[in-house]
Amino acid sequence: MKYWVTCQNALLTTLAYRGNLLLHLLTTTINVLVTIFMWLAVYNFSGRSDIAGIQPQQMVLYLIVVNILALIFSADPIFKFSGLVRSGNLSIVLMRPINYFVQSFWDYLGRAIPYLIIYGLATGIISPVFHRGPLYGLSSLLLMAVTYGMFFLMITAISLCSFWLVQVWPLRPVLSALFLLLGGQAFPLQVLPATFSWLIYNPFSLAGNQLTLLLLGKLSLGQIATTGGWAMLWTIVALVLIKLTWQRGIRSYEGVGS
Amino acid sequence: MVKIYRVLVTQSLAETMTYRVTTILTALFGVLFYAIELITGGVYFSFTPTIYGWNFLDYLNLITTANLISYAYQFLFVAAHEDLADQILSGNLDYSLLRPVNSYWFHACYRVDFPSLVTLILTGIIEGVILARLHPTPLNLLFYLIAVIVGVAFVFALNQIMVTLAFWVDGLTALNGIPEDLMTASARPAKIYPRMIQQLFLWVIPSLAITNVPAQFGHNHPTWLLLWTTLVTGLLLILSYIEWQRGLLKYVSAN
Repeated sequence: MKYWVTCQNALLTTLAYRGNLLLHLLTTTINVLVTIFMWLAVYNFSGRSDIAGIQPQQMVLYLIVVNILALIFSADPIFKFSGLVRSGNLSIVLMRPINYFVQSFWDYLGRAIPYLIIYGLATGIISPVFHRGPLYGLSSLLLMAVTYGMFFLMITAISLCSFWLVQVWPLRPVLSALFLLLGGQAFPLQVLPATFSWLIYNPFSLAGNQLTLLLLGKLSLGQIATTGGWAMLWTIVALVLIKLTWQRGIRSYEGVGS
Repeated sequence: MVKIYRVLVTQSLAETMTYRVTTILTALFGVLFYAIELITGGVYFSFTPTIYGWNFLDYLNLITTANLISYAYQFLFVAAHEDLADQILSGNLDYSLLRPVNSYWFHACYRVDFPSLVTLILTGIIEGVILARLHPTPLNLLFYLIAVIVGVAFVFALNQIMVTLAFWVDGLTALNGIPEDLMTASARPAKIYPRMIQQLFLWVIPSLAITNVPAQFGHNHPTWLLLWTTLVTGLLLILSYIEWQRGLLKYVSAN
């Protein structure tokens, strides 16, 4: 229950600055429209009705969904944790009868709720996911949940570098760039030559590219299993990293701020 | 005024040398995002040799010119603009208002961002190579340079108008990102957009014209739109100056 309050507070924080939220959505819409018009021109002038198995209408949907996913999978926990370490306020958090990582997860979830609702509605209304039998629907939901958890843990693992780095702001543009290129936000990774096909199993692609293809009904049950397997693998990697770095980080943490 | 500007530039350089790692990282990120645009452009043109008559080299010319305008603005004005909203809200304008200088230009030129100079020079070199392959006539090259300068002034005016809104609006930080997003969206051939969007951003808020016009001069397709963009930019600069004067009347010197 105490974590649910964290989730509610995070949602309220997102909704408190409605002007900023709306402008953020507006600028995201502009960026999506640019990419959509560019791809429609590519379809038009290439004379192809299908690029890497994706038709023009599906490409439009792909670009909209992958950009919503980019909003869901934010890197905010890194900067929040960095703030706690730099100010020394992590000491106060550690003294509270809570698990910091669980609280951070509910905070992460709360901030993403408006975007999760949009993604959920798109999955329920547009996507064929729930029209392919209970096994497919259940596997899809499981993949979404595992990927969400995996990405949060990856970001949390990265955030622990704050114990040793004074400034972590340079990570923001780097992570944005990684999501653009490796997450399939700029273009579906499937349009790349076959030699780059292994790229679809990187954590950013699992969160962006693969979850979008899932919504479009482009993943078979076997592909869902493979993607889920990779998500589990990355989850284990993130958990090991957290386990290793947390202990060392806490030992180097001085608790007085910088 | 030139003497004051020289002092401000010297101070900016001293700050840059203090934060050397930040300088290197900022320059690297600029190159990284430019590289992503190049890769994305390469992906588009791997499916078709031309889009609305633009080949890959023309497209490169367009996005490089758009980046050139963007980095030139960043080098000259972004650091000052980032600082200005805070100065207004925290009541720190008093110190400059007391000085015998024009406060509008003093705050607009308060700092230069040296890390952006690295990416500006790099983009300039790449654009030089592209122009050498496009062979614009000397006259078109001259108009290309004029169009780039007008572009920088246009981006400055848009940002100045947004930042100065801090005199009236507090906390709407996302407003400051709008000009950047608008210019990013404009770094594409105008013809990819539906006619209504084209008309809006070529004639009313001519951000598309700002990027497309110099690129057209670069590949020897001169256009009268340059006159229109110059006129609108002039009007926006006047508007931003009037907004500043009105804002100062609203300013209450308290945080």
